[in-house]
Amino acid sequence: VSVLIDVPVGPQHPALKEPLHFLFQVDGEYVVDVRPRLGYNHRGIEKLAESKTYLQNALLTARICGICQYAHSTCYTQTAEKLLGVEAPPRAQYLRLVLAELERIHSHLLWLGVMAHEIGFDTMFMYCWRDRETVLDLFELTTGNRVQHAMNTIGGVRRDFTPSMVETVKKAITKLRKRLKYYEKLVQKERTIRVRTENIGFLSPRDVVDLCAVGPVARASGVKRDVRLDDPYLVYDEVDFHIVVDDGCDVLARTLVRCREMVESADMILNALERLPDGPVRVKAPTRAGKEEVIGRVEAPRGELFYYIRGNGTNKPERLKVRTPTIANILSLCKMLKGCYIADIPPIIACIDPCIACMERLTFIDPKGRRWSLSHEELRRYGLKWYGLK
Amino acid sequence: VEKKVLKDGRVFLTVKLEKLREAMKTLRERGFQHLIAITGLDAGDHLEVIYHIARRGEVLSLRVIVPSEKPEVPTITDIIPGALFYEREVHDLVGIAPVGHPDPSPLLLPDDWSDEPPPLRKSTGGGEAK
Repeated sequence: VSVLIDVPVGPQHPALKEPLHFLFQVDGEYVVDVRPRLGYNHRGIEKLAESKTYLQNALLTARICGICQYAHSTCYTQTAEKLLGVEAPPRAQYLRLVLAELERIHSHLLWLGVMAHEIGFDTMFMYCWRDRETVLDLFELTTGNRVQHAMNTIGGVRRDFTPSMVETVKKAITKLRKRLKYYEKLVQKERTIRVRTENIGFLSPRDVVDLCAVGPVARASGVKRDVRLDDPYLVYDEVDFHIVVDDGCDVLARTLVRCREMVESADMILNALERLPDGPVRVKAPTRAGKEEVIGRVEAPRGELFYYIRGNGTNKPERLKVRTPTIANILSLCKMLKGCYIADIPPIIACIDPCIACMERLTFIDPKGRRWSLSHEELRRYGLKWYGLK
Repeated sequence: VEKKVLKDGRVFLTVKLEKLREAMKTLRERGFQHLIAITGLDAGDHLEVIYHIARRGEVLSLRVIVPSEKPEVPTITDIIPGALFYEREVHDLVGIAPVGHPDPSPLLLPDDWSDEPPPLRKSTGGGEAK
């Protein structure tokens, strides 16, 4: 006679890097069913965006997520540019592409490190994060900041690359590419990785289509779904690249897809820097939009990112809707978790590269249901008081 | 039953609420299988739900107008299972109930939010950061 037991995991749990709650129903060592509960990181950014101007929103959207912030700001600016009727000059589009691909490398390396950590391979975690520093240093050199670059503005980018910067980026990426090739080989050959990832977290191509999965999760199940190819934005139709697909349908396939994608991204960066056109990097944009609506899609490191903006004749949007890749993959994640061993839960959750801050977008709530928001000054004073500085 | 093509080739289609499920089935048969997102919005005198659905590079946005007095839409989760979370999100944030959804419990908001107005309605304040 089997007895089903409910095991709650999260929102705070050593195996989770961000707050998310799962209720697992287990039978012995097997997971029978899983129910996720989101909302622990919901900050009401969509509501806040309605009270900000189009330009301010370029900075707000970048703060949805710390890891894929450039994907968010690129998707927002290109969608808002469409609404406002401007187009970024070619050089700006190339620079955006270079930065977007740099971000993909940094995000995937970070993820590879976390994945290695989840399966207890902490040496690899350290090496991956060391190599990720190369990319962060390039961000600092070219944009002035390591994480939040504030590079995108409506109508282009805020800083231009100097010839010496272009050379430094090329040199660093050529060097990094060798390391990326090494990781690709390592994932295929290293026994520790294989036993913890092979044939785990199965997701069929049929499930990908039904559950509308995106990004590396879809591509690792043999579904060739990539916005860069299907619906080219920026200048993705001008640079050469291959879409990496694998039909392994398991955690190993998702790891391999990401490793190969990093190599592709490195090639794309070198290719785009070769072709970098001259000219201005930004144009002046109007501040008011008509009563129109636009949509925009971008391939973020975790998959397809979607924005919908509706204008109302003023300098603020009527509605700004964000659909991030993580929420699109949570259903697939639940599917993968059913039937797995309890010990495999952490690598499976990690394999979709969940980004909770992205998924749930600040309202303060107390248990009685009262809501309020703090101004910058209030927040500063609160912070000082909290740390006993004033 | 109104079609609008934007400058960049994106299509916005408006259908009657009772024709939504039928339209969704037809679209799915024609290869529009990838539901990107469901946008719910408060347009002042009425509510709108927009289903953004893609066939590779083509994106079609299917809009239904929902009266504010009766904020309900039929579920499409049996046609596209990928809509499970998006319908709950619209339910939470805009307060448009998906009729026939297998589990319409709160997804993003706290469990005790139910007696408060949905946050993304225009009548709900907040979010006015200085």
